[in-house]
Amino acid sequence: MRSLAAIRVIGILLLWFLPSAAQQARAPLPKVARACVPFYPRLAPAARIQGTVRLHLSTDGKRVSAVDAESGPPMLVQAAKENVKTWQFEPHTPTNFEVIFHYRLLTYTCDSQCRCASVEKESVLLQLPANVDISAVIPMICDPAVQIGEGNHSKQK
Amino acid sequence: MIPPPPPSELHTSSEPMGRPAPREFSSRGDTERDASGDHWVTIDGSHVLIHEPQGKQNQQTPQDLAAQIPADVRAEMAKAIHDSNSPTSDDRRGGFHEEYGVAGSDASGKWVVSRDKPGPYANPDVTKHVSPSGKPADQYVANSIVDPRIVFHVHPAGTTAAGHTWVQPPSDADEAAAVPGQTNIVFAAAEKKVYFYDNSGIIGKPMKLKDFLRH
Repeated sequence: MRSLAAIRVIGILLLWFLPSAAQQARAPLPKVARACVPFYPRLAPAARIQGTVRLHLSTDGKRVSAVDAESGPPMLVQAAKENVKTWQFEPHTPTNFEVIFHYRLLTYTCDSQCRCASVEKESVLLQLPANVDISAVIPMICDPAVQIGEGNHSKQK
Repeated sequence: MIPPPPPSELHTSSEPMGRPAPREFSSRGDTERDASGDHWVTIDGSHVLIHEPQGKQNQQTPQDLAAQIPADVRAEMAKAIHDSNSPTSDDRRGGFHEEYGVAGSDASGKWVVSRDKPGPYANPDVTKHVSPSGKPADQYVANSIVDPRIVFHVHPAGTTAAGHTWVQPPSDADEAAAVPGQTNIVFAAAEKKVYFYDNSGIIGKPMKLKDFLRH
Protein backbone atom coordinates (compact mmCIF):
# COMPACT_ATOMS: atom_id res chain seq x y z
CA MET A 1 0.00 0.00 0.00
CA ARG A 2 2.78 2.36 1.00
CA SER A 3 4.81 1.73 -2.19
CA LEU A 4 1.69 2.20 -4.31
CA ALA A 5 1.12 5.61 -2.76
CA ALA A 6 4.76 6.52 -3.34
CA ILE A 7 4.49 5.58 -7.05
CA ARG A 8 1.37 7.69 -7.35
CA VAL A 9 3.13 10.73 -5.83
CA ILE A 10 6.14 10.30 -8.13
CA GLY A 11 3.82 10.03 -11.13
CA ILE A 12 2.04 13.25 -10.25
CA LEU A 13 5.35 15.04 -9.73
CA LEU A 14 6.63 13.82 -13.12
CA LEU A 15 3.49 15.01 -14.88
CA TRP A 16 3.93 18.41 -13.22
CA PHE A 17 7.65 18.71 -13.84
CA LEU A 18 8.29 17.23 -17.29
CA PRO A 19 6.40 19.70 -19.53
CA SER A 20 7.96 22.73 -17.84
CA ALA A 21 11.41 21.13 -18.03
CA ALA A 22 10.91 20.55 -21.76
CA GLN A 23 9.87 24.13 -22.26
CA GLN A 24 12.96 25.37 -20.41
CA ALA A 25 15.21 23.12 -22.48
CA ARG A 26 13.75 24.42 -25.76
CA ALA A 27 15.71 27.34 -27.19
CA PRO A 28 13.76 30.57 -27.59
CA LEU A 29 12.47 31.21 -31.10
CA PRO A 30 14.78 33.42 -33.16
CA LYS A 31 13.75 37.01 -33.76
CA VAL A 32 12.86 37.94 -37.35
CA ALA A 33 14.79 41.07 -38.38
CA ARG A 34 13.60 41.32 -42.00
CA ALA A 35 10.85 39.69 -44.05
CA CYS A 36 8.79 40.29 -47.16
CA VAL A 37 5.05 40.76 -46.63
CA PRO A 38 3.22 37.51 -47.43
CA PHE A 39 0.28 37.81 -49.79
CA TYR A 40 -2.60 35.53 -50.70
CA PRO A 41 -1.68 33.83 -54.00
CA ARG A 42 -3.42 35.81 -56.75
CA LEU A 43 -5.38 32.92 -58.28
CA ALA A 44 -6.37 31.23 -55.02
CA PRO A 45 -9.44 33.30 -54.02
CA ALA A 46 -11.28 32.59 -57.29
CA ALA A 47 -10.55 28.89 -56.78
CA ARG A 48 -11.73 29.15 -53.12
CA ILE A 49 -8.41 27.78 -51.88
CA GLN A 50 -7.94 28.36 -48.17
CA GLY A 51 -6.64 26.56 -45.11
CA THR A 52 -3.68 26.09 -42.83
CA VAL A 53 -0.10 25.51 -43.92
CA ARG A 54 2.38 24.00 -41.48
CA LEU A 55 6.06 24.40 -42.28
CA HIS A 56 9.08 23.08 -40.43
CA LEU A 57 11.94 25.57 -40.63
CA SER A 58 15.62 25.09 -39.94
CA THR A 59 17.90 28.09 -39.54
CA ASP A 60 21.65 28.51 -39.88
CA GLY A 61 21.79 31.24 -37.25
CA LYS A 62 20.82 34.03 -39.61
CA ARG A 63 18.56 32.75 -42.39
CA VAL A 64 16.25 29.86 -43.19
CA SER A 65 18.43 26.96 -44.29
CA ALA A 66 15.69 24.39 -44.95
CA VAL A 67 11.89 24.35 -45.21
CA ASP A 68 9.73 21.25 -45.11
CA ALA A 69 5.99 21.32 -45.66
CA GLU A 70 4.12 19.28 -43.10
CA SER A 71 0.62 19.95 -44.41
CA GLY A 72 -1.54 22.36 -46.37
CA PRO A 73 -3.04 23.02 -49.81
CA PRO A 74 -0.20 22.80 -52.39
CA MET A 75 -0.73 26.29 -53.83
CA LEU A 76 -0.65 27.85 -50.36
CA VAL A 77 2.32 25.71 -49.27
CA GLN A 78 4.26 27.09 -52.21
CA ALA A 79 3.37 30.69 -51.30
CA ALA A 80 4.24 30.21 -47.64
CA LYS A 81 7.56 28.56 -48.50
CA GLU A 82 8.51 31.41 -50.81
CA ASN A 83 7.74 33.89 -48.05
CA VAL A 84 9.75 32.21 -45.26
CA LYS A 85 12.75 32.08 -47.57
CA THR A 86 12.82 35.90 -47.37
CA TRP A 87 13.05 35.88 -43.58
CA GLN A 88 16.29 37.06 -41.96
CA PHE A 89 16.88 36.63 -38.24
CA GLU A 90 18.91 38.34 -35.59
CA PRO A 91 22.03 36.21 -34.94
CA HIS A 92 21.08 33.13 -32.93
CA THR A 93 22.11 29.53 -32.34
CA PRO A 94 20.94 27.45 -35.34
CA THR A 95 17.60 25.94 -34.52
CA ASN A 96 14.42 24.55 -36.02
CA PHE A 97 10.78 25.24 -35.32
CA GLU A 98 7.27 25.10 -36.79
CA VAL A 99 5.54 28.01 -38.52
CA ILE A 100 1.81 28.09 -39.21
CA PHE A 101 0.27 30.15 -42.01
CA HIS A 102 -3.50 30.57 -41.90
CA TYR A 103 -5.04 31.55 -45.23
CA ARG A 104 -8.65 32.64 -44.94
CA LEU A 105 -11.14 33.82 -47.57
CA LEU A 106 -13.66 36.55 -46.91
CA THR A 107 -17.11 36.75 -48.50
CA TYR A 108 -18.97 39.90 -49.42
CA THR A 109 -22.42 41.41 -49.65
CA CYS A 110 -23.86 43.63 -52.38
CA ASP A 111 -26.52 46.32 -52.34
CA SER A 112 -29.25 46.74 -54.97
CA GLN A 113 -26.84 48.75 -57.16
CA CYS A 114 -24.33 45.87 -57.10
CA ARG A 115 -21.95 47.85 -54.91
CA CYS A 116 -20.22 45.02 -53.11
CA ALA A 117 -17.95 45.00 -50.08
CA SER A 118 -16.62 42.61 -47.52
CA VAL A 119 -17.53 43.28 -43.90
CA GLU A 120 -14.00 42.40 -42.87
CA LYS A 121 -11.01 44.02 -44.55
CA GLU A 122 -8.25 41.98 -46.15
CA SER A 123 -5.35 41.71 -43.74
CA VAL A 124 -1.95 40.21 -43.01
CA LEU A 125 -1.18 39.59 -39.35
CA LEU A 126 2.40 38.65 -38.52
CA GLN A 127 3.13 36.98 -35.20
CA LEU A 128 6.67 36.08 -36.17
CA PRO A 129 8.19 33.68 -36.29
CA ALA A 130 5.45 31.23 -35.34
CA ASN A 131 2.19 32.46 -36.86
CA VAL A 132 1.05 34.30 -39.95
CA ASP A 133 -2.61 35.05 -40.75
CA ILE A 134 -3.58 36.20 -44.24
CA SER A 135 -7.06 36.96 -45.48
CA ALA A 136 -8.37 37.92 -48.91
CA VAL A 137 -11.79 38.67 -50.39
CA ILE A 138 -13.12 36.31 -53.05
CA PRO A 139 -13.81 37.94 -56.45
CA MET A 140 -17.03 39.91 -56.16
CA ILE A 141 -19.59 38.67 -58.66
CA CYS A 142 -22.89 40.52 -58.77
CA ASP A 143 -25.30 40.01 -61.63
CA PRO A 144 -28.19 42.46 -61.80
CA ALA A 145 -31.86 41.86 -62.45
CA VAL A 146 -33.18 43.24 -65.74
CA GLN A 147 -36.52 43.69 -67.43
CA ILE A 148 -37.15 40.89 -69.90
CA GLY A 149 -35.81 41.97 -73.28
CA GLU A 150 -33.63 44.71 -71.80
CA GLY A 151 -30.10 44.83 -70.44
CA ASN A 152 -28.97 41.71 -72.20
CA HIS A 153 -26.97 43.41 -74.90
CA SER A 154 -23.51 41.98 -75.34
CA LYS A 155 -20.63 44.39 -74.80
CA GLN A 156 -18.50 42.65 -77.37
CA LYS A 157 -14.93 43.88 -77.86
CA MET B 1 -3.85 29.71 -72.94
CA ILE B 2 -4.97 26.33 -71.70
CA PRO B 3 -2.29 23.73 -72.25
CA PRO B 4 -3.45 20.46 -73.70
CA PRO B 5 -4.26 18.31 -70.70
CA PRO B 6 -3.13 14.74 -70.45
CA PRO B 7 -5.91 12.23 -70.99
CA SER B 8 -6.87 11.54 -67.43
CA GLU B 9 -9.68 10.94 -65.02
CA LEU B 10 -11.60 13.95 -63.76
CA HIS B 11 -11.98 14.80 -60.11
CA THR B 12 -14.97 16.86 -59.12
CA SER B 13 -16.32 18.27 -55.91
CA SER B 14 -19.35 16.00 -56.25
CA GLU B 15 -17.05 12.98 -56.34
CA PRO B 16 -14.41 13.59 -53.67
CA MET B 17 -11.17 11.81 -54.36
CA GLY B 18 -9.10 9.82 -51.94
CA ARG B 19 -6.90 11.92 -49.74
CA PRO B 20 -3.29 11.45 -50.71
CA ALA B 21 -0.42 12.13 -48.35
CA PRO B 22 0.81 15.72 -48.31
CA ARG B 23 3.38 16.24 -50.99
CA GLU B 24 5.82 18.81 -52.17
CA PHE B 25 4.55 21.18 -54.85
CA SER B 26 6.66 21.72 -57.90
CA SER B 27 6.47 25.21 -59.31
CA ARG B 28 7.64 23.77 -62.60
CA GLY B 29 4.47 21.74 -62.92
CA ASP B 30 3.07 24.02 -65.61
CA THR B 31 5.99 24.28 -67.91
CA GLU B 32 3.76 24.11 -70.98
CA ARG B 33 1.93 27.25 -69.98
CA ASP B 34 5.23 28.96 -69.13
CA ALA B 35 6.37 28.14 -72.60
CA SER B 36 3.36 29.83 -74.20
CA GLY B 37 3.58 33.09 -72.24
CA ASP B 38 7.29 33.52 -71.48
CA HIS B 39 10.30 33.72 -73.70
CA TRP B 40 14.02 34.35 -73.39
CA VAL B 41 15.75 37.28 -75.11
CA THR B 42 19.40 38.30 -75.14
CA ILE B 43 20.17 41.89 -74.09
CA ASP B 44 23.83 42.97 -74.07
CA GLY B 45 24.88 39.36 -73.88
CA SER B 46 22.64 38.56 -70.92
CA HIS B 47 19.73 36.17 -71.20
CA VAL B 48 16.55 37.69 -69.81
CA LEU B 49 13.24 35.94 -69.31
CA ILE B 50 10.37 38.06 -70.62
CA HIS B 51 7.03 37.32 -69.02
CA GLU B 52 3.80 38.01 -70.89
CA PRO B 53 1.12 37.39 -68.28
CA GLN B 54 -1.92 37.83 -70.53
CA GLY B 55 -0.50 35.72 -73.31
CA LYS B 56 -2.50 35.78 -76.51
CA GLN B 57 -5.80 34.80 -75.03
CA ASN B 58 -7.69 37.69 -76.60
CA GLN B 59 -6.65 36.61 -80.08
CA GLN B 60 -8.35 33.26 -79.62
CA THR B 61 -11.95 32.79 -80.63
CA PRO B 62 -14.55 31.28 -78.32
CA GLN B 63 -14.35 28.17 -80.50
CA ASP B 64 -10.58 27.95 -79.93
CA LEU B 65 -11.03 28.34 -76.18
CA ALA B 66 -13.88 25.82 -76.05
CA ALA B 67 -11.85 23.26 -77.97
CA GLN B 68 -9.21 23.31 -75.24
CA ILE B 69 -11.67 22.30 -72.52
CA PRO B 70 -11.82 18.54 -72.00
CA ALA B 71 -15.16 16.87 -72.62
CA ASP B 72 -15.53 15.72 -69.03
CA VAL B 73 -14.97 19.27 -67.76
CA ARG B 74 -17.61 20.52 -70.21
CA ALA B 75 -19.95 17.83 -68.89
CA GLU B 76 -19.46 19.21 -65.37
CA MET B 77 -20.27 22.67 -66.69
CA ALA B 78 -23.47 21.32 -68.27
CA LYS B 79 -24.34 19.86 -64.88
CA ALA B 80 -23.88 23.30 -63.29
CA ILE B 81 -26.37 24.80 -65.78
CA HIS B 82 -28.80 22.00 -65.02
CA ASP B 83 -28.34 22.59 -61.30
CA SER B 84 -29.01 26.32 -61.68
CA ASN B 85 -32.34 25.44 -63.31
CA SER B 86 -33.15 22.93 -60.56
CA PRO B 87 -34.64 23.52 -57.10
CA THR B 88 -32.39 23.96 -54.06
CA SER B 89 -33.23 24.26 -50.38
CA ASP B 90 -34.26 27.92 -50.82
CA ASP B 91 -34.83 28.20 -54.59
CA ARG B 92 -37.93 26.04 -54.73
CA ARG B 93 -38.60 26.34 -58.45
CA GLY B 94 -35.08 26.57 -59.77
CA GLY B 95 -33.74 29.29 -62.06
CA PHE B 96 -33.25 31.82 -59.27
CA HIS B 97 -29.77 31.01 -58.03
CA GLU B 98 -26.25 30.92 -59.46
CA GLU B 99 -23.86 28.03 -59.77
CA TYR B 100 -20.09 28.62 -59.83
CA GLY B 101 -17.07 26.45 -60.50
CA VAL B 102 -13.36 26.36 -61.20
CA ALA B 103 -11.50 23.88 -63.37
CA GLY B 104 -7.77 23.36 -63.18
CA SER B 105 -5.13 20.78 -62.60
CA ASP B 106 -4.03 19.15 -59.39
CA ALA B 107 -0.43 18.40 -58.39
CA SER B 108 -0.37 15.30 -60.60
CA GLY B 109 -1.63 17.21 -63.66
CA LYS B 110 -5.14 15.76 -63.60
CA TRP B 111 -8.10 18.02 -64.31
CA VAL B 112 -10.21 18.87 -61.28
CA VAL B 113 -13.55 20.69 -61.24
CA SER B 114 -14.43 22.36 -57.96
CA ARG B 115 -17.98 23.63 -57.64
CA ASP B 116 -19.38 26.10 -55.12
CA LYS B 117 -22.41 25.30 -53.03
CA PRO B 118 -25.51 26.67 -54.79
CA GLY B 119 -25.83 30.44 -54.54
CA PRO B 120 -28.62 31.93 -52.43
CA TYR B 121 -32.12 32.29 -53.84
CA ALA B 122 -32.71 35.69 -55.35
CA ASN B 123 -35.95 37.16 -56.69
CA PRO B 124 -35.29 39.72 -59.45
CA ASP B 125 -38.39 41.69 -58.40
CA VAL B 126 -36.97 42.17 -54.92
CA THR B 127 -33.28 41.45 -54.56
CA LYS B 128 -32.16 43.10 -57.79
CA HIS B 129 -29.00 41.02 -57.99
CA VAL B 130 -27.82 37.44 -57.79
CA SER B 131 -24.40 36.06 -56.77
CA PRO B 132 -22.65 32.73 -56.22
CA SER B 133 -22.40 31.38 -52.68
CA GLY B 134 -18.63 31.86 -52.56
CA LYS B 135 -18.30 28.65 -50.56
CA PRO B 136 -16.85 25.51 -52.12
CA ALA B 137 -18.98 22.37 -52.03
CA ASP B 138 -15.88 20.44 -50.96
CA GLN B 139 -12.96 22.41 -49.54
CA TYR B 140 -10.62 19.47 -50.06
CA VAL B 141 -11.32 19.36 -53.80
CA ALA B 142 -10.86 23.15 -54.07
CA ASN B 143 -7.56 22.96 -52.20
CA SER B 144 -6.25 20.21 -54.48
CA ILE B 145 -6.09 22.63 -57.43
CA VAL B 146 -2.59 23.94 -58.08
CA ASP B 147 -3.25 25.59 -61.43
CA PRO B 148 -6.74 27.12 -61.78
CA ARG B 149 -7.37 27.66 -65.49
CA ILE B 150 -11.09 28.15 -66.02
CA VAL B 151 -13.58 30.08 -63.87
CA PHE B 152 -17.25 29.72 -64.77
CA HIS B 153 -20.65 30.60 -63.41
CA VAL B 154 -24.25 30.37 -64.55
CA HIS B 155 -26.57 33.34 -65.00
CA PRO B 156 -29.95 31.90 -64.03
CA ALA B 157 -32.93 31.60 -66.36
CA GLY B 158 -35.77 32.45 -63.96
CA THR B 159 -38.36 35.07 -64.86
CA THR B 160 -41.11 36.59 -62.76
CA ALA B 161 -44.69 37.56 -63.52
CA ALA B 162 -43.61 41.20 -63.25
CA GLY B 163 -41.33 40.63 -66.24
CA HIS B 164 -37.98 40.59 -64.47
CA THR B 165 -35.15 38.18 -65.12
CA TRP B 166 -31.37 38.03 -64.72
CA VAL B 167 -28.77 39.64 -66.95
CA GLN B 168 -27.49 37.00 -69.36
CA PRO B 169 -24.15 38.28 -70.74
CA PRO B 170 -21.23 38.90 -68.33
CA SER B 171 -22.05 41.85 -66.07
CA ASP B 172 -19.73 44.75 -65.29
CA ALA B 173 -18.88 43.04 -61.99
CA ASP B 174 -18.05 39.82 -63.85
CA GLU B 175 -15.61 41.63 -66.10
CA ALA B 176 -14.07 43.48 -63.15
CA ALA B 177 -13.62 40.19 -61.29
CA ALA B 178 -12.12 38.32 -64.27
CA VAL B 179 -8.65 37.06 -63.45
CA PRO B 180 -6.06 37.78 -66.16
CA GLY B 181 -4.49 34.62 -67.52
CA GLN B 182 -7.53 32.49 -66.76
CA THR B 183 -10.41 31.57 -69.05
CA ASN B 184 -13.59 33.17 -67.74
CA ILE B 185 -16.97 31.83 -68.83
CA VAL B 186 -20.59 32.83 -68.20
CA PHE B 187 -23.28 30.35 -69.10
CA ALA B 188 -26.47 32.21 -69.98
CA ALA B 189 -29.09 29.69 -68.90
CA ALA B 190 -32.05 31.55 -70.45
CA GLU B 191 -30.32 32.40 -73.73
CA LYS B 192 -28.62 28.98 -73.84
CA LYS B 193 -25.42 30.74 -74.84
CA VAL B 194 -21.81 30.64 -73.64
CA TYR B 195 -19.84 33.86 -73.15
CA PHE B 196 -16.05 33.97 -72.88
CA TYR B 197 -14.79 37.24 -71.41
CA ASP B 198 -11.92 38.98 -69.72
CA ASN B 199 -11.31 42.30 -67.96
CA SER B 200 -11.94 44.26 -71.14
CA GLY B 201 -15.14 42.62 -72.31
CA ILE B 202 -16.64 39.69 -74.15
CA ILE B 203 -14.32 37.71 -76.41
CA GLY B 204 -15.85 37.22 -79.85
CA LYS B 205 -19.46 36.25 -80.30
CA PRO B 206 -21.25 34.06 -77.74
CA MET B 207 -21.41 30.38 -78.63
CA LYS B 208 -24.59 28.40 -78.70
CA LEU B 209 -24.64 26.11 -75.68
CA LYS B 210 -25.31 23.03 -77.79
CA ASP B 211 -22.25 23.83 -79.96
CA PHE B 212 -20.10 24.31 -76.86
CA LEU B 213 -21.21 21.00 -75.38
CA ARG B 214 -20.61 18.94 -78.51
CA HIS B 215 -17.20 20.49 -79.23
